Amino acid sequence: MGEEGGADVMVKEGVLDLPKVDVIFGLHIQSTMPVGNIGYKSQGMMAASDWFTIKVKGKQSHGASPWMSIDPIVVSAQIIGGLQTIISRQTELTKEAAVITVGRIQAGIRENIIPEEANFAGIIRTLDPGMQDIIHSKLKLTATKIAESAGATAEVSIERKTPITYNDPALTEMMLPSLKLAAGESYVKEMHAVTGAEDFAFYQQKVPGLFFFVGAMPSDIDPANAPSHHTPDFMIDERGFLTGLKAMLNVTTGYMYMKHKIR
Amino acid sequence: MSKNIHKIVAGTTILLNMQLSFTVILVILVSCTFGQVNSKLQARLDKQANEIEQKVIAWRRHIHQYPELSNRETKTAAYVAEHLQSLGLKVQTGVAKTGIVALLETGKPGPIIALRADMDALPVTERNGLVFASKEKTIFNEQETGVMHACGHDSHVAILMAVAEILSKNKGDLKGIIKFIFNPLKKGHLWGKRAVRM
Repeated sequence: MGEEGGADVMVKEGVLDLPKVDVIFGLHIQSTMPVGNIGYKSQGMMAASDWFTIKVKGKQSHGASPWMSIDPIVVSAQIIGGLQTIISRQTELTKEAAVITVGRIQAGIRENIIPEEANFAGIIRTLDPGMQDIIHSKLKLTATKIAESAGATAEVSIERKTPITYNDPALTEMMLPSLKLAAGESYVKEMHAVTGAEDFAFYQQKVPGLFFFVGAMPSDIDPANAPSHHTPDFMIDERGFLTGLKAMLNVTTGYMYMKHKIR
Repeated sequence: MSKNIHKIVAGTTILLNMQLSFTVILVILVSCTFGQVNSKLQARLDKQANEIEQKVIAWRRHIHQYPELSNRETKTAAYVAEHLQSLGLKVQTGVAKTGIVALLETGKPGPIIALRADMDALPVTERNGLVFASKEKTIFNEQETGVMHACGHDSHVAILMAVAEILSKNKGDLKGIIKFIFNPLKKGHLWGKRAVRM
């Protein structure tokens, strides 16, 4: 069974055309946010997820005579160390958060053989389109130049998986009264960005959109122990649905009868 | 003679003033009516949302009990499509494999607003003891696994089904087109286990 499909394919198949969509709204229920609350963030609310692979090519030798080699394992270790400084030293973190994680590494076959190649891979999570491009180019530069300094080569490939879930700032501001009407003024809260990714972002790449969270944490659960998403114990309080339903109704009619359109 | 002219001029001014005030009153009246219709509609939608709550919960429990992994949401999609068709919407199924697009056309000019829900469940074996917990099993990445709505997309689907029902009922008071999008997800799932706290 094929596993293709998803919001990006929906967009490619033209769901935003005929008739052409002006705006899009979406929500996500949250098991760790109290029932009755709505959380939102203007601009980058959830991260872009990009996957990178780095292939380091050196020179093979006996492990006993490393001077005969260009050791791709040591070069990889240096590159991984270097990648840490992209976020910590070269990224304007007060603007938005960003993450680089190496999640996979593979090299060698035997204790006493320095291999010719090493491969490792990971993810880049960003919340700002400008920062995303800068981090991509710094990652390439860091990997290739460190490899070069050792006489090795590093081949870097970055695959853009999911874009930033980017809430149009003007639309977000326009729709706040609608959200507040649904949940109550003090229950609509601006929240921090989330470094998880969400495929709603594919729609927002094409049309202005607003994505928000709806609280559904069971009230008898200690917030610190509320079962999080993706776990076998995940549980939500169904009373949260009504807030979500009213929010969706309100943003729809709110936008429908608004005098000034987003574009 | 000059007095008469003066009178005529004065009369015209009064008339003009009256016309102006009439226009002002008309504008106020129209905007009031508009505001009233809006707040009336708002109140009605709010009431209907309260009334439909138990149905939303029932739909969600059904979907929760029979979860399907991404791009395999055939039963879920059929369940949703049947509901949307019963509301008289223009429904297109099989978009991006299992996705659904449905249109609520009001027949009046206005914005095209899209509302979206995602339908997929995850390869997780449910163990929370709910009476409507999933017992579904499948093969994923060559491993046998339980299937569970462990990210709450079942509630997104049920909420959007209710939005469609309520907006359809109030079609006469709406304008433009509302496009309902139910989408499958790409292979794998995007969220981390990171908890969101407020």
